[in-house]
Amino acid sequence: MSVTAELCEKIVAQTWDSLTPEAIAAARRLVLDGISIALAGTEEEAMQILGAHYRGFGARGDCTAIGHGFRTAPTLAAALNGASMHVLDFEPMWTPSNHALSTTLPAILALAETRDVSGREVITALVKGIELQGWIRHAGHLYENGSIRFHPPALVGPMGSAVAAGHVLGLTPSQLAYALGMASSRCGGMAANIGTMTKSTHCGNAASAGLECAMLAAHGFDANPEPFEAFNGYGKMMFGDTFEPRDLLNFGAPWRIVSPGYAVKMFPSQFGTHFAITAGLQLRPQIPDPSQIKSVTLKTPVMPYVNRPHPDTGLAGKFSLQYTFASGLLRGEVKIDTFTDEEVEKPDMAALLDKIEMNMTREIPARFDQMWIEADVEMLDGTTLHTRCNGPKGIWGTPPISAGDHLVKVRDCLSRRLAHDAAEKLIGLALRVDELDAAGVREMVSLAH
Amino acid sequence: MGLTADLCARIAQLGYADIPEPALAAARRLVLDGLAVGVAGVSEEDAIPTMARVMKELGGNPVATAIGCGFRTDPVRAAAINGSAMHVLDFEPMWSPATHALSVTLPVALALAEARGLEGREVLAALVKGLEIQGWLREASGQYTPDVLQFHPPGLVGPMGAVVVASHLLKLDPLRMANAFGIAGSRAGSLFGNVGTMTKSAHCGQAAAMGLESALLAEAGFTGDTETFESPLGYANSFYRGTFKPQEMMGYGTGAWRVARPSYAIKMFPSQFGTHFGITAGLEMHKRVADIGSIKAVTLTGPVMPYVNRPFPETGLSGKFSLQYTMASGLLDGHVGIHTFTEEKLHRPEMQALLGKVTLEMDKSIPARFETMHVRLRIELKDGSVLETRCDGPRGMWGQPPISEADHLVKVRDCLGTTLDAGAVEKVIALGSRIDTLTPAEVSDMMELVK
Repeated sequence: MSVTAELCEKIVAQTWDSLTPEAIAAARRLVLDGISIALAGTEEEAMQILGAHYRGFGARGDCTAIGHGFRTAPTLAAALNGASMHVLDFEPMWTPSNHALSTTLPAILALAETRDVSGREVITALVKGIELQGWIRHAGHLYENGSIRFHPPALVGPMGSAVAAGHVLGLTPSQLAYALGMASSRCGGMAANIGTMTKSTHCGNAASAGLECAMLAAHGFDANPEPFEAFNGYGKMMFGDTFEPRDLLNFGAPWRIVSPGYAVKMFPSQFGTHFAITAGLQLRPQIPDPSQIKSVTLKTPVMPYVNRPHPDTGLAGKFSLQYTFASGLLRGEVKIDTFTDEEVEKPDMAALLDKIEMNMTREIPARFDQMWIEADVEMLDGTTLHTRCNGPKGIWGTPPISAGDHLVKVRDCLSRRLAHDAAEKLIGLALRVDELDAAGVREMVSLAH
Repeated sequence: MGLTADLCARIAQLGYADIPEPALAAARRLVLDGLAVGVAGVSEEDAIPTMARVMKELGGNPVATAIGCGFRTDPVRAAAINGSAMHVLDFEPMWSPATHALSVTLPVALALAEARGLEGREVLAALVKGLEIQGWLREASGQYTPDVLQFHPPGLVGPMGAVVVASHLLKLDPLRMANAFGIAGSRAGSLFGNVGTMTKSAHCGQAAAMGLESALLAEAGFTGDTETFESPLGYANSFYRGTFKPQEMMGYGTGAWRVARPSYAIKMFPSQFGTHFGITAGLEMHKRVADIGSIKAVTLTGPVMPYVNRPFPETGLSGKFSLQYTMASGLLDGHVGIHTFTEEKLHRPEMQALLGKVTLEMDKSIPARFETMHVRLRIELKDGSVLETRCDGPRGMWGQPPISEADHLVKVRDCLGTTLDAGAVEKVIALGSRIDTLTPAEVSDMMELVK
């Protein structure tokens, strides 16, 4: 039996009963996190454009366009909601690095509004879709940022979405193999689009593509059923010779959603910048008057795509180690409104950005689970300050973000678009999503319209 | 200004008046070829009706025709279906360097023309411009042979062709076009591993749909990397990894237009282009071998093209990518057409017996490029005698006399006739042949005929 065939047998065999309580709890939190940040994300200009675009298709359907106030067809809802869930760069980070939530949850929610899907199946599909993405990233054996050819959610997201949607649709192992083969031809996504509106579509399109491929497979559309091992297939072409298909057979308990788990983001920006933000926040109490700073040196791993000395939009600011560090230091907090075009252009910000020097060094591993950032500040009076961040709050290997802290983030996001009662109702439903019947799931999603 | 910006400025300023008659004439013929193979593609293969069932559910406002499917949908969905339909038979023209440039562009032009009420001359100009970019992208990549190609070309350069078509019709300014290229770069891809499956045809449909959607988003102000042909992590560097010479892109529109030179090879057999060499040799041998039963062994020698080395294909669709099966069909039947690639034809005992006698030799000394390759066919009969032939290129290939208009119309009528009655066939031919004089209403009439 081929590796893909064996893998698909294994995936199809995993059900709600295969999940551990820890995996279920971890997934529940993701449902709430995902819906909340998607709602907040719809305020972004990019999502206004994208929402109008998909609304203009005039597609019939029962699927909620989160935060947009219309309903549409499942693949369009998945594309839009996936982008909304990603656009703030506020969704959890995974190791190896990826955005595994916005590529899967929207596909599942869209299907849940077209047929009867219980909360248990929502959770099961989510855990399974995330699981495959983790093992594909692992099987590629390319861990350093910059070593992989494409932006991870666009590279592995369509495969995860195909698995998640495949679970809901009840695909057989051979149909699932076709769905994965089909999805493999829709993977890609350029790192050059990071910092533009297009980055968010990597996630939405991944969710939509995987969903469409699963639907096509359910109707009998075929593809190469061995994408992971074919000599001209996905593994070889997208990752190269380092790809080890058999690693994928680790699929299953203890589940990657728990081990190694995910890092909930408390700042809406690229994950590497969280190290810089934390350093900035650590320095702030020691620097009452930032205008007295003479120079700052940030020692970081080599991550060229987040080396942006003077980002020209708020969106690009999310991918600037310099801007995010300066925001932590100057403002003492980093939140959604940190990344407006107006904030980027403030005079004290521009003045501080001018003083920041980057020292990107290969001494520091360019992977989130091993990197650190150091900041050295020289004041006009000659005194010097030093700080180092080995990892933001909640990163792997440290205590997770508490339920209370997470709810602060969730309420913050929801309150931007929902009245208090609706927000609390949504939180109440999402926190017990696995107890909901199909109508309950639909009610939960509808609250986020 | 950067290269992408320069390129977009040039593309934006070129229009119908800049295209000389030979290029227009070559493109007119493509409109007809595309409509014809699209109609036949829906009628002859399960893949497209299957896809159309799903797409119909997902689609929106009925403003663009899904060819052969009997319904209208939103332009993006229509482009996805029609692009797949125009490709699925592997009957659309071949280009040099190799790609399938038509099924990724014509559906975009037709869908937008219907949706926005555009004239036929803009459809034709947009088509010529969208074909042009794909040719230069293929040249700039420096990837000519299967051993260096990593992605299936229509999925890779097709979205960019579709962007240009849509940009012309939407009248995007150069900056918006640059954004559209950046958006589309993240929607390009497609793997050779799917050749020989239904998903291959979806590469073309997806390319058309994704390029169209990218241009629509850019029109609305959506942003992407605006330097995608030169930026370090952009399209060219991500997909071609160092072989890409962006400067070659500036050949765009400076010559005779690629639709006229080096132009395209019209396919007279519905299968992968390399197989046409084997088919031609097989047809030649059909005349010389009176009794198939007298054959002892068959040796086909060709270039190294592993993805068309399929000794015993399992499906008719996969047979289109088998040098062995296609050659054997020519040899056994003396004719290769749409119906060659059915499960029934494939599983005939006499075909299976013949396939058992075929040996394929992939010879590294033969160039693996369509322009310079050849195949040799050697048949040993039971009486010990040996027959040999060689094909340096099928009829109508670059460097050979083009397929005559009359021969082409035989193909077109054959394809349209799979679904349309004779009157409708002639109407489509009449309208398609003068596409650049059609009013918006006449474009819609033409599409209604092929619905």
